[in-house]
Amino acid sequence: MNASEEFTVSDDSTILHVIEKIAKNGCRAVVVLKQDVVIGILSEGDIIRALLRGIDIHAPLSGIVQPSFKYLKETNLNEAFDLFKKYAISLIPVVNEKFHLMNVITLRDVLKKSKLV
Amino acid sequence: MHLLPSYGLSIQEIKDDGFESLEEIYMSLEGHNHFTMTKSLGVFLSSFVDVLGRTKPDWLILAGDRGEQLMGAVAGGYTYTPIAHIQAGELSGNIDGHARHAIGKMSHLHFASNKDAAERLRKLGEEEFRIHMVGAPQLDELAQGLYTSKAELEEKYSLNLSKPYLLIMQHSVTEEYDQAASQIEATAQAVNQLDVLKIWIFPNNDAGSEAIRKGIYLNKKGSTHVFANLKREDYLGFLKNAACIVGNSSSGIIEAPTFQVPAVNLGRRQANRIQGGNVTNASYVVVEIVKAIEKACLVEFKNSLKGLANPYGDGFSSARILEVLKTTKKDTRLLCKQLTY
Repeated sequence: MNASEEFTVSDDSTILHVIEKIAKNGCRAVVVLKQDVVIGILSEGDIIRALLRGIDIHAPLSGIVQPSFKYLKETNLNEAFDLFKKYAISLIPVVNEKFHLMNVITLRDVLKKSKLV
Repeated sequence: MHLLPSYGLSIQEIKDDGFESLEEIYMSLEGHNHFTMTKSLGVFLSSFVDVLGRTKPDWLILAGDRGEQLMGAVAGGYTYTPIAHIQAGELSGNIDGHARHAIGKMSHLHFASNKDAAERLRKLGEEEFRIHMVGAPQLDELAQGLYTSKAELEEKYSLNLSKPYLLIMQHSVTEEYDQAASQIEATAQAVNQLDVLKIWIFPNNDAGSEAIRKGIYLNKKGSTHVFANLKREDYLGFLKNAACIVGNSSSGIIEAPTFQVPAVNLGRRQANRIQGGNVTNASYVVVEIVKAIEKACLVEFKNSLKGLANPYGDGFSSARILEVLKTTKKDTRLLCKQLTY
């Protein structure tokens, strides 16, 4: 179970906090939660684009998080692999019926299982 | 709103279509209540009048009924900049409707999308030569087939659209903004009772919109995808293939009839607007909404919409509007309005 705090931030966090999380978790993205509900994903790329637009790192992340994201309903590494490959993402949340976070699949999880590695 | 990342930075879409943006104005104050909304409009007005001074446009073209357009009308009217108003004379069920008529009072040309709207402009004292019935130009893209195919949408968003799905778009109603949370709650609970894919689109930034976004987030259930701002052609693709559009967006009233897509229209935001046969009305009561969606999704109902004429026109408005703009003389008769009543 990967749903630990290192992969999540609360929706009232600052962009700086997101950067700190990403720096530590090493998977280039975090899951954004609002009262336990997954509301989006923020990636390194999202942050870089926001910084390029001149956003302050102390600004709330709510200004840049997009509500659209890829997710799975169960931990299935094959499906996750397809999504990673197709959309060049690095993290996929696994959610239940009410979008509570059940697990996080990272690109590294999938690569570890791959026969090539 | 086009400049705000939280609304999907839609300015990029306009630029991608090949348009140059002459000026970009930041105007939105945080808060999302009546006071910040009004003050934001003031910020826009004070900046926009300078844009008119710098660029001196041949025409100021305003579309719709929003506060931003009303500020445009005020700036254009007092600077004697020729103003043309698209979708003039219609009724909308909230303060936007008041704004539309106020825009009309300052406008020099009125482009009405239907007979009813043209007649209302006459009754409001507008001179006959200013009124042109051209249809609603947002239908032009539909008629030209400028929408994304189902297969492309599935590929792009990793969705399976082979089964019926609901497209849901709910804006806050400014007079009822304190009820925005309970209204979105009712809609979410209703659609969650149905075992189908739900595609939600975030609302505009009117007072109460924060409550709507929160309500969407916290009520997500089952197969649900939420978008802040889709590209226009992607949105139209989702609309074309939807089993039903639910909410209070004008899209269900104006665009959905062209695609013969059923619409469940909620509350009074679109009250008094001419409706096609595709629309079923309901109030913000869970059982009522569920019943309306079930009726709208019946095969017999869908079949009854075949050959439906859209009261908002045939999708060839832009060419008519352009012709009028090119041939109208910008003289004293145009710029000094006489009210007939």
